[in-house]
Amino acid sequence: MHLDRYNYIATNDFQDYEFYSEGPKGRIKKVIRYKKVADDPITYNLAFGDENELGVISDTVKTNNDDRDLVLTTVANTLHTFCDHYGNHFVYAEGSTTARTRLYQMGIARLWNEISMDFDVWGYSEGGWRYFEVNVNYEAFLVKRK
Amino acid sequence: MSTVKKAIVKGKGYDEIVVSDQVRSYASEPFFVEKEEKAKAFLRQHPIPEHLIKK
Repeated sequence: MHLDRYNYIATNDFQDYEFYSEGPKGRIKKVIRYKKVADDPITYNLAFGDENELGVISDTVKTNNDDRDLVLTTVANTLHTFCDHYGNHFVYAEGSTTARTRLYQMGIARLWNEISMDFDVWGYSEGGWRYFEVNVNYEAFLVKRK
Repeated sequence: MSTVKKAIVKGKGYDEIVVSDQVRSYASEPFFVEKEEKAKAFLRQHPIPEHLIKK
């Protein structure tokens, strides 16, 4: 991907990532974790949230740091790093709420030209997994690097 | 006086990624454990269809 993103750091097993969002609300620590959740087919879960100064992680707080695309691009880049080490498997992601999942959907849609170059994306809607389409609401997403 | 540089990488996706001992493992973090259990449940209920697996 050739979009601006935040620098991020990883654990030596490349399952956990950290970066800082910077904007009008200050410097907010973002944490990402990939974990295998199924063997056939191999599928990993992608989860991420904000970690506060007490070490509490949440994905229900609306950050409003005016950098949503930078954050999404950074997450997509961690997916590249993860796939470099674990292979191109399915990666599952969903929001904590319907509204949050919709925000992810809109983010993917905004960056679709870039994302679709590197990744296949499916969404779950109306009882089935379907190839991602802009302007369709999904309950969850599957991503696989091409 | 030190300068704080905004940590944005301009238009590049494949820079060397820094591995750091300062990044803690979140393996036992309840937030992530709950997400992983939720993902397992969703995928059990809505399995990935064969045509996607063979793609």
